[in-house]
Amino acid sequence: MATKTKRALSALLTYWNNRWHKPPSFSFALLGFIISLMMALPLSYVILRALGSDKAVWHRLFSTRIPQLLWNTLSLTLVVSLLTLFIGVTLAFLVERTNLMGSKIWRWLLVLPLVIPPYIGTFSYITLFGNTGILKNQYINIYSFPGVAFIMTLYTFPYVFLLVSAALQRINPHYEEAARLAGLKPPQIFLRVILPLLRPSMGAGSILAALYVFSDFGAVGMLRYFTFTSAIYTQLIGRYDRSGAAVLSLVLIFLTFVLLFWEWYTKRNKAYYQSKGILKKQEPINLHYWRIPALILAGSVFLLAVALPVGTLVYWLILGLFKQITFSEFWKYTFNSFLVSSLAATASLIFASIIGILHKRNGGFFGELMARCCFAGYALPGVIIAIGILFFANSYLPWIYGTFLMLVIAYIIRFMPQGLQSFEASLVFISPNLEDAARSLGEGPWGVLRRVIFPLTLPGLKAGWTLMFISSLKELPVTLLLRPAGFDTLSVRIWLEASEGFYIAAAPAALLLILVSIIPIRLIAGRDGGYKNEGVS
Amino acid sequence: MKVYLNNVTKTYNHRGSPAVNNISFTVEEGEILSLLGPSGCGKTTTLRLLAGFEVLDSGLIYFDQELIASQNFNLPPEERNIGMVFQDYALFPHLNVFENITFGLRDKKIKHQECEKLLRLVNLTGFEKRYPHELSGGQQQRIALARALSTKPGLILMDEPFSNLDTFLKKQMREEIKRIVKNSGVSAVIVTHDPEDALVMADKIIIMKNGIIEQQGPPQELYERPATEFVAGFLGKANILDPLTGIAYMP
Repeated sequence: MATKTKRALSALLTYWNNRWHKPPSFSFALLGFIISLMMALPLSYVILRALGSDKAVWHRLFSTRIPQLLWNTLSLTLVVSLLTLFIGVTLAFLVERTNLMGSKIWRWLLVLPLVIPPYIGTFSYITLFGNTGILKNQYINIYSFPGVAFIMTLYTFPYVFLLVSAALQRINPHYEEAARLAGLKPPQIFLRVILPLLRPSMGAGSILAALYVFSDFGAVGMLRYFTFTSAIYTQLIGRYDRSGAAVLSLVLIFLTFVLLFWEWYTKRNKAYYQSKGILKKQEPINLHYWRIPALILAGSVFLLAVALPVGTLVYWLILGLFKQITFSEFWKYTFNSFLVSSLAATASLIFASIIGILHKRNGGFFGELMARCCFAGYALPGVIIAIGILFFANSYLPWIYGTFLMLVIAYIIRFMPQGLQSFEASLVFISPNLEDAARSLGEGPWGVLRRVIFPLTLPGLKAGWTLMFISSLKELPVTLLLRPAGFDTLSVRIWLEASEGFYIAAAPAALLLILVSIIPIRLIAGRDGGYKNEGVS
Repeated sequence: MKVYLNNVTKTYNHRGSPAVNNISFTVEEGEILSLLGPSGCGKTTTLRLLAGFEVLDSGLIYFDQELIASQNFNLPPEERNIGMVFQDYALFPHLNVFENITFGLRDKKIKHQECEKLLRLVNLTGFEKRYPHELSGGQQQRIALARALSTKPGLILMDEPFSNLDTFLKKQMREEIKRIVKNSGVSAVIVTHDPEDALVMADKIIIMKNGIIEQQGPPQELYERPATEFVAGFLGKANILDPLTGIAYMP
């Protein structure tokens, strides 16, 4: 009997060792399993709950709401994708290839819309053209399909713009010269040579935009347009129909996975236009009398996406200062926001470093599995994460139900992958020999983490923390669904004031969020590799 | 410290061929042993098994009388009382020489004294405040050796210690490291692909090929009486007699 158990144990140990590239200690691995379980659980719970719900619910939803929601969501996604493609490719081409005035400045001005959370942009437009807006007129109705599509396009075209610009910079000029020699005119070259070469980046960019449309809640919610996210929200908050919400969530999960699969599929053959050798600077195309219209196009996109909304918010802020509204409430929800966001970012960072090491250093099947589990919450719309946590906490963790801990957990699940990515990016620059050296000098795994890995990955950890902090700060749907009663945050206030029409009160919150969001741009631009002497180790 | 390896086998990809296949050898107290062979022969894997960075599939490893690794047991590297010099030296880039050397010392009071002693041993007195990137390759290597010796290990492991040095420095460092190791009385295992390293430094050489030990013995013996054609060819001065003609040829 004893030998039998012994043999079974030894077989188990061999299995364990073979599933890792380099087996970690049991306690460290256990921590990793607990973390990845936490990351994947709410999502799995939504799926289980939806599959387990009554057939009648499915039938009712499929015969009533789902066709309409599918139409709303898919038509919006299609229109926004096409518009972002048109605007993104045109602007990228103008900036990269023509003598557009100030093209260097446009290159980063046109990325700025990404800094403004779309629901804040929407809020600005509501204060202008909404029901009680100051520029309200009978010609412009933003509570409509064109209104929603317009705003979504403004805040998602930079995805296409960024990817297509990058691709344009990499295209080998010899292709165009060859086409020229073959007798093609410039417009033909654009259509027959450049555009096909840009197709992968256009595809990737528009899929990112489409994924955003799927997941966005704030803009569609404020404009009372029903896509899956806003429908799930009302199903839950307005009708208290949990099974219905779960079923709608499952449909949305399915749609998201289809898009993610598509993205993976297009990325697969993305590398085919990578050119070898030195690229020479190309002579920019002279726009002649098209220079002015081009400038107007770039200018108006920037005006509509950034200048006008920010200007409007500043106007409300100044108006508020003149009317001397009190700021005591503002400080209270700013504090709430910073509290939950910094808690979530800090916890995420610790989790991310554990998973990162298990993934990158111990590797193998289990390491890969853990990293995959952690990305579940990142890929899916926030509403779904919120529902998963709501269900799960309600059934199994009543002691955190209704506390702000639910928010913290949700932010961790939603944004930890950002920290994981930036931690892993700096981890790969550290030679594993440094860790082995520390082990040979008598440090255990935790000591290695504290004395070698943390100090060396500090730039990446800082960047990761900041990203997660800001993402949590801006987060809207999860916050709305999971916040304890009376626990207002910056994003929640903006949502509430938009519907209550008290615009002055929301302006400081909106501006603060925009200001904070500018930080990562600097982080990305000012990123240096950390230690000069990396070459040594 | 005396080291025994008994029928040790290690396979990385559990369907592939073993990286180290059923090898056994002994390192005597204070002996310098060299694991020699072409790349991919399993010498580095053997070293990492000794250090505890890899887990063996079967076999036994003893340090003195203590079992440190078997099929079901693996003493973690930090508890093995070993020192290691890495091919890239692996000096912590965020720490200066003093902090690097005293990394493994717990007792704060002896840090300065120990560091000074070790720096004197490796002829780098006064380098405490320098950072790794401010040192030359040879200096980095000597600091790495000082750090490996700081915890007073019974066994010191060196992975291709000379591969990043130029020929002139290499000759000088061989002598110097041999002197330092012999003076401190530890046992040492040096992994190298350069026969000259092994012939100059080692008391005993183990020649490996495809995870198997081809021959082991003192340098003189291997050089003069190679057991296989591979050993003869690898050690350089080779006169292999063609069995048909009886004429010597160089492979």
